[in-house]
Order: sequence, then structure tokens, then C-alpha cells
Amino acid sequence: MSRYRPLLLGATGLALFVLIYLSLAVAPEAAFFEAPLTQRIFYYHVPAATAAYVAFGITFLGSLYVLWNEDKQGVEPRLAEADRWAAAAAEVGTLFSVVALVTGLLWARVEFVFNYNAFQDPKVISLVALIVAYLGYFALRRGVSEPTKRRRLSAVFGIAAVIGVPLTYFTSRVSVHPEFLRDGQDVSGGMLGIMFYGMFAFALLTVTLVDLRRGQLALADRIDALEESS
Amino acid sequence: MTPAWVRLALKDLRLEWRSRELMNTLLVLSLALITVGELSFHDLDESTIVAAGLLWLSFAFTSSLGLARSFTAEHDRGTLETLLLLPVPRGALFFGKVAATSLLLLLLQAMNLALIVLLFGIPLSLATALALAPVLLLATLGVASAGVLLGAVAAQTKGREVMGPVLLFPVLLPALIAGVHATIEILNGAPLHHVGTQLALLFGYDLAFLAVAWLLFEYAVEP
Repeated sequence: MSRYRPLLLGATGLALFVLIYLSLAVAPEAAFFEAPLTQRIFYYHVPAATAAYVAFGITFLGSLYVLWNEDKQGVEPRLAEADRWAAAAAEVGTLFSVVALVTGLLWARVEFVFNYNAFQDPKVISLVALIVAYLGYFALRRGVSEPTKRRRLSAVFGIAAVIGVPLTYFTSRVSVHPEFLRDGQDVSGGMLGIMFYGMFAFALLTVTLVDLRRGQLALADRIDALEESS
Repeated sequence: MTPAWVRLALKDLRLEWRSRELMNTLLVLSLALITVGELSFHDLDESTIVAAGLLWLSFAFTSSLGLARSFTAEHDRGTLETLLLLPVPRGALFFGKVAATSLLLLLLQAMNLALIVLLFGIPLSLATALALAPVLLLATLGVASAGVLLGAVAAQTKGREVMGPVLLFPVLLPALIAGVHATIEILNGAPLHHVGTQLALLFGYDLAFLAVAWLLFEYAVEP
């Protein structure tokens, strides 16, 4: 993938720059909100949340690949690569989870003026659960020094967390989270389109960051191997 | 011929009966938690909400600590190698562990409930107790099956005493939230069918984690 890296970086930079322009200058005011200006944070909040789940999905797929192929012969380099993808995606996913949580709480503070119990909101709780799960994943990786064992155990946790976290979403009762598509609010003027464009730009950013981090981890593994052999 | 998992569960229970290593510690911990809760929330009017919260708070702490412990002994005494050499499927090891852990946690929950009912003076009729039983049963089974898997993972790490709760919390969260919501409703006198959503959620959680943990357990205990 490193051949395409300059291209990927350029495309991501351009996509994000266009998103800034679209969200601040092109998107119309959301007149049906208390704070129409603050509403523009949505164009970063929603894409960050979806990017966090995409990254979580990459961690899940990497973990699944590791456990599925573990007993096969001659797949060692590919297992190590899948493990690096999972670990890199977990780091990027944590970043975007925190971005989504902070932007959401900032908006809610302005829109609802403190009259908002964030921890009754299923999206907030599942996002917090997601962050804690990622932190547990990192703690686990740090807690096992042997590479093959670390790979196997973190894959087990990566899969278990994917089952647990979405279930958290369904446990909460009341949601004050705005539902654009469901409430039939006036989302004309390309608001929805810009939001979907934001999701695309953030997905690109996710892939770029995961790829960069994966490359770093591969280098770190090579250094470890060289140190061991010398 | 008793199935292998039953005999493995009986082995764990017999061990616990003789040493009472786990239960004694966990009981003291939950006693401390509930007492502090009683002293802090004594003057609140919504005693059922506080009672339900305390029941699940002490369950969250004691179960994550207890589950983290459930495999450390096997590692320290070298029992795990022997267990893995047994001519039984890995699934039997898993289900045996889940059965024994569920029973111990259920006993703990029952004692906590009795303590909370006494301390908070909640009128607990037979109907309420019967309605609470499936909630506690389902939640405990789910917590035990997810916990046995992650307890086995945590036991192999550095600083495993802390690692257990850290790994367990995000995964146990749905079961704990559903449990506390259902308990509040039932203690407030709602009939069982009012908490159908929570019961269905707990049931789904149990099924999902019994299946997933059974499939992954092999990878978690491999040396």
C-alpha cells in the first residue's frame, strides 16, 4: 500500500479541506435548532462517530482473521499484518470516538443549555463503552509481551468487545439524540448531502491514518526482530 | 455417567466449599459497598432506585474481581495444563467453569439482595422475589459466560488483578444496565411482563456470549 500512500494523503487532505468549506460556507443554517451556528459541528460529529465504528470493524475483522487462520502453516507474516491492522485501527478508532463524544457534548451543552442527561442517551453510553473497550484493548496489548500470545489474546478480546458494545446501545431507555432521517425535519439545501460527504472524507482519513500507523507498527516489529537476531 | 462439564463444575464448587477463598473475600467487599451505600443514601426518598443501584454496583465490582480470580489459581497451581490434557472437549472446560461461576455469583447476588432488603427496609413480597429471580438468573449466566472467557485472557497478562475488571467492564455493561433497569421496575411493583424488553435483551446477551465465548475459549486458554 505504501506506493499509493502519497496519493492517499493528498486525496485525504483535499477532501478534508473541501469539507471545511462546505460545512462552514455552503451548508444552510439549521433554523429549526436553538443554536443554528453550533449545529455545523454535526458535519464533523456524525462522520467521526461513523469513522469510529468503521475502525472498530477493522479491528474486528483483523481479530477474526488472526483466530481463523492461526493453525494454518506458513501464514505467519499475514497473521502479523492482520494483527497490526487491528491494533492500528483500534488507536484511530479511539481518537475518533473521543472526537465524536466531545463534539456531541459541546453541541448538546449549547443546544439544550444544561438540560441534558447525557448518560441516558444510548449513543453516548455506547460511545463511552467503545472508548473503554479500546482502552482495555491497549492495556491488554501492553500486558502481554510474547508476540504470538499477544496477537491471539487481543484478537479474543477484540471479538468479545464487538459483541458487547453494540448491545449497550439497546439497553438505554430515552434518547434525546436528534434523528435527522426519522423525524422528517427540514434537511433541504444539501445538509444531508454534506453530512454524507463528511462521512466519506472521514472514512478516507480513517484509512489513511490506519495505514500510516500500520506502517509504523511494521517498522517497530522489524526493529524488534533485528534486535533479537543480533 | 455424569457429563464431563458437570464433574468439572463440581470440582470447582468442592474446592470453593473447602477453602471459601473467593466467597469470603467477595462477601466482605459487597458488605462494605452496601454499608457505605446505605450510610450515604440513607435520607433519599427513592429507596428502591438506590437499592437496585447498590445491588448491581456491588455485583459489578464483586463479579469482575471474582471472575478475574477464577483462572489465576489454575495458572498459579499449574492446574490448567492438567485440565487441558484431559480427554474432554474444550467446551466441557468452558461450560463447567461457567456453571460453577454462575452458581457462586448467584449465591452472592441472593445474599446481597437479602442484605439490601434488610438495610433499606424494602417490602419484598414473594411475587417480587419471584419476578426478580429470572432477571438475576439471566444476568448472572451472561456475566459468567463473558467473564470466564475474559478471565482466562486476563489471567495470562501482567498485572492481571487490574486487567480483569478493565477488560470486563465494557463487555459486561449491557447486562448490568439491563439488570439494573429491570430491578428498579420490579422493586417498584411492576409485573414481570413490564420488563420484557430487558429480559429479552439479557436472554440475547446470554445466547450471544455463551456461543461466542464457547467458540473463543479454546484460543484463550491455549498455552
